Amino acid sequence: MEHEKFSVYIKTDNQGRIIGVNSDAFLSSLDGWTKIAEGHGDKFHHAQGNYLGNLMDENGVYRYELKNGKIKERTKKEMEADVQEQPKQPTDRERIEELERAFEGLNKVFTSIMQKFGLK
Amino acid sequence: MAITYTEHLQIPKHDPTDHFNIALINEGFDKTEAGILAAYRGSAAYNFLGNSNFEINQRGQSEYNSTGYSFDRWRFRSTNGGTVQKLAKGIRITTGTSGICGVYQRIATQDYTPVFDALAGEPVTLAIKISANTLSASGNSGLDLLDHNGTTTEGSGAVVIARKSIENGKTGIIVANGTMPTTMTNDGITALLRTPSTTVTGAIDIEWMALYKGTYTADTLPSYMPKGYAQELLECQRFYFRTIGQGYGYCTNTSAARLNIPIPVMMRAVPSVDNDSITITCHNNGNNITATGYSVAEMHGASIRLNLTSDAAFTRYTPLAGYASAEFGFSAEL
Repeated sequence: MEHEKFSVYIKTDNQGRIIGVNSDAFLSSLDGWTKIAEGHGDKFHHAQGNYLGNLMDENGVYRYELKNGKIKERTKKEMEADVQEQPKQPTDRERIEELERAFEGLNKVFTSIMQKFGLK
Repeated sequence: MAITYTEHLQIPKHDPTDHFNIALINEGFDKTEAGILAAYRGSAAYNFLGNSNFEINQRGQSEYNSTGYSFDRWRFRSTNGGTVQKLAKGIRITTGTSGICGVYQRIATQDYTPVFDALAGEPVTLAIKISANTLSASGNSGLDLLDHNGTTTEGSGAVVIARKSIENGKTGIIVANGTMPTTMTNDGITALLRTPSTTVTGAIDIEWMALYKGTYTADTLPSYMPKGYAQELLECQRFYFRTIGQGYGYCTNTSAARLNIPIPVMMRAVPSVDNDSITITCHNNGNNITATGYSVAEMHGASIRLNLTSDAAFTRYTPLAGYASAEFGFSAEL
């Protein structure tokens, strides 16, 4: 019976960063995927977790890109730039300080109104 | 003089008053052979095939009608409408209008050699028990043990280690003998049952298949003994595990999270998710978030880690729970 080869496909974003790896054994459609290799064995059959390994680091930054038709590991500088681009969430301290400022502002407005009407 | 017999097997002893009692001599030979056969059959040997009686069926279909994995560990080849279905004991392959159908198990590949290593250079016997056979074709079925090495000794690029032709209508235990190669230099080893390649009608029922070390005939083959459901299931789950993908993890950033999905046993290799249409829903910091993507990252002991992405919807450094939109399989099949 057949002992077929498996083809490895990658998906990239608009900046060429590799955002997905899979083999033709598990892809229902090849639209948007680029074939990069074929062969026998786990590296090709189970490419998802075995061809490039971990696609992203702990910050969710993609580790590989497709450049001139070849897979290349992204540099530390390129990956750090991606981290800088990620939207930042305010810390709890920043949130409290912002609330304090907003409350102070409201308090000034309230005091001004009270004074205008001779209530304070 | 009265004839005397051995204590246990009742083999007649030599009659000194009638040295050439042919009937007595032959009775002795017959009972000796029967005793030896009973001894062979009474001892079970280790079956190197997994899910050999087709009981484990994590994919859950009662019938498979396309080429691909079917009952755990068994790949089905369907040609022109052929199907394979579960019976009370074993499976039934019903042929299509023409062309080969069959079931085959990949035993070893370059990435996975434990079964091959135990049998390298050894005589082996591939056996099958056919409980019913209504196939009608101009050719025969075949029981094969193949070594896929890319050469063209076979149409599929394989060398035959063991082969037995099975005539239409034949039932019972059938064996194929051969010797496993000494080194694994090739793409893999496969055990298979195939129906004729010509225009064919009918079906063949297979109760079990077995691969033993040693050379046996159908009469001397060790008694077939299934490994037990729990053991078979765990062994199969090293190759394929069906799950809803429920797990727990944490967010490493606003756009990234890790989800750890428990598995019952460490799999043979880092597996693939076999359904590319699923999405992952996460509960994080009071929010219900659908991840924009996921990828298989690592296998740690008895869990698979998925990396999840989102459009800045996660809360950094907070716990997360997640599950898939549909059941899927973690596949580490050969």
